[in-house]
Amino acid sequence: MSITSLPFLLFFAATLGIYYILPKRYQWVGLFVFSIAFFHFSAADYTILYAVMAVLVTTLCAGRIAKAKTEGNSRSAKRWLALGLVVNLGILATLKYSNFVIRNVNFAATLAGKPTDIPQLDLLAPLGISFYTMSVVGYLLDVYWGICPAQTNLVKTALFVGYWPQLTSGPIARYNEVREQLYTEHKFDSRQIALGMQRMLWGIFKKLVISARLAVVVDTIYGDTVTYGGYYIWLAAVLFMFQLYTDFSGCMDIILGASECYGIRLPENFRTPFFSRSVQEYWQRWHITLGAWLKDYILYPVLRSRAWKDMTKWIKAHWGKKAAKQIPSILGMLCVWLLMGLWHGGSWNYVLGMGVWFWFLIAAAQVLEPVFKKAIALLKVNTECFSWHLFQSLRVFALAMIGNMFFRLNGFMKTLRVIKAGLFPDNPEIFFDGSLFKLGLDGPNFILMVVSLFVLLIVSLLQEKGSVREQIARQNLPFRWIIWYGLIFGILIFGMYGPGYNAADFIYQGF
Amino acid sequence: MSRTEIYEKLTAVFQDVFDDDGIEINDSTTAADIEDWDSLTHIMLLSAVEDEFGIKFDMKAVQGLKDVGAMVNLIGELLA
Repeated sequence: MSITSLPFLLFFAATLGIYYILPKRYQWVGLFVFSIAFFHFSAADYTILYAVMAVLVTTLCAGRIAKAKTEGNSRSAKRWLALGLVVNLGILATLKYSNFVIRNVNFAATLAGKPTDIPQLDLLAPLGISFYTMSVVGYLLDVYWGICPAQTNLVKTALFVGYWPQLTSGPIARYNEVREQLYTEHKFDSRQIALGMQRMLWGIFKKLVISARLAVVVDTIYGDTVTYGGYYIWLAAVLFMFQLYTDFSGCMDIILGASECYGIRLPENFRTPFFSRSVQEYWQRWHITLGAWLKDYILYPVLRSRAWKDMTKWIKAHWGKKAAKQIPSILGMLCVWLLMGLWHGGSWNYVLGMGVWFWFLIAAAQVLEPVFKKAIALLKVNTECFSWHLFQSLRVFALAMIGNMFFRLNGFMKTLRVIKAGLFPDNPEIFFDGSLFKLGLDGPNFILMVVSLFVLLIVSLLQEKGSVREQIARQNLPFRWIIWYGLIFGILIFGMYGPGYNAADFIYQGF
Repeated sequence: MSRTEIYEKLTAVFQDVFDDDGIEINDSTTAADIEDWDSLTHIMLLSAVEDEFGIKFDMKAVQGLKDVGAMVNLIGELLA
């Protein structure tokens, strides 16, 4: 069930009605039942068994870890933690990464001159497994570290794992962030529901009006890079950045808005990432909950591990203080970025394009920082003016764009070939001779796409100043009506949901 | 160890980690006040503090420390 479809809106309206009719102490049970129903409408029923297994093991392990901790038995706590992590990550690895391993084993065997032909597996993963597994692993570690209490109620754990809004594309919530909200009683609050619905509306606009149009152009160009070379390649690369952003952040607006209507605030996943001034900052503003998860549960433990501390001491003794500051942290980040790439999918284009590429950019920025600082001082660059900020943001955009080409083009060598087809472009005329209107969108639709990107820019600039919905709420009634009715009619008239366009495909939904 | 003594040692650790002899810290100093204090240097800082004072922070502390005042209090507790 796509979250921009009519059946979804009916499902949501029905659940919202039931939620506020239910006796308040049973509201959380209602959310649990809605989540099961959402799973049923959105995925193959039997795959829920994997999620059930995750819930059973997590509840058992979290309870045992907490018990062992209170008894001061740290060995037992460690064992239960290990069991919980192995089972949860094992299910994820088996379902999502078996074929990656099999393909590489076959490839390595061929290289070694002893070809094998291990057949690939045809396993179907449950909806949202990459997202809920992260939540569950974080939860088990938090219980182990004493950061949050253990939830011993099986159904309550199941709601935390499978709360339906998070099943489509995250965000990856921490138990501490949602535990009070999920199980508590929520009063009907019309203002909060209106705000939630407004956010959903904006998300639907982003997806159906902006992202869907961008997708047509991007698909046309990337579908035939022999015909569409030179500047077309870069046009598609730029537009895909906006497509991915409006698709994923639009999905988050719908999800967070829907959850807000239940009175439950999920963590934000985006903060106007294109205004970032460094690649590091970009990842603090793009898919925020995944970056924060990797930082807290991978980077910190790795850097604080005995092995890393010993390595730091060794480097300090042999190569000096400066190297001891840089090398361990850069190697720690490599672990994080390899996992970031792998999380996106078991394929080298993700590992290298989404992982190693961004690691290289951030590590290079760290190592070369003194050089950049000197150059800026030497050239007397004013770093606190608009033009410098703009230059920095455009630089980040261009670098992230290269990484996202690997993400979109599904194939490492293929991406390199496409980049090659875009090098030394010699067709600037395409921007003036009407060629752009032959990429799947006619003139009016192409212009509408450009205009809607301007709307996105204006909203993003306003977002920098705080909640846009709150800013609109402070305006007079006629103006507020113009805005919200404009958005509704904008979606109804310009939304692309007719035949030939599959609104079901949210880019991050497959994860 | 008194808070003043902790502060003396801690200031030296900060100056060493951030390579800046001019750094001065107080109870309300946070990551926002020191330019290079990001998530990576945070971990390096905590490791340096652990080595200097011969203590070990748990992950709860690593994720939860709000400002230098909280860090000094925690060091005091761990040394007690």
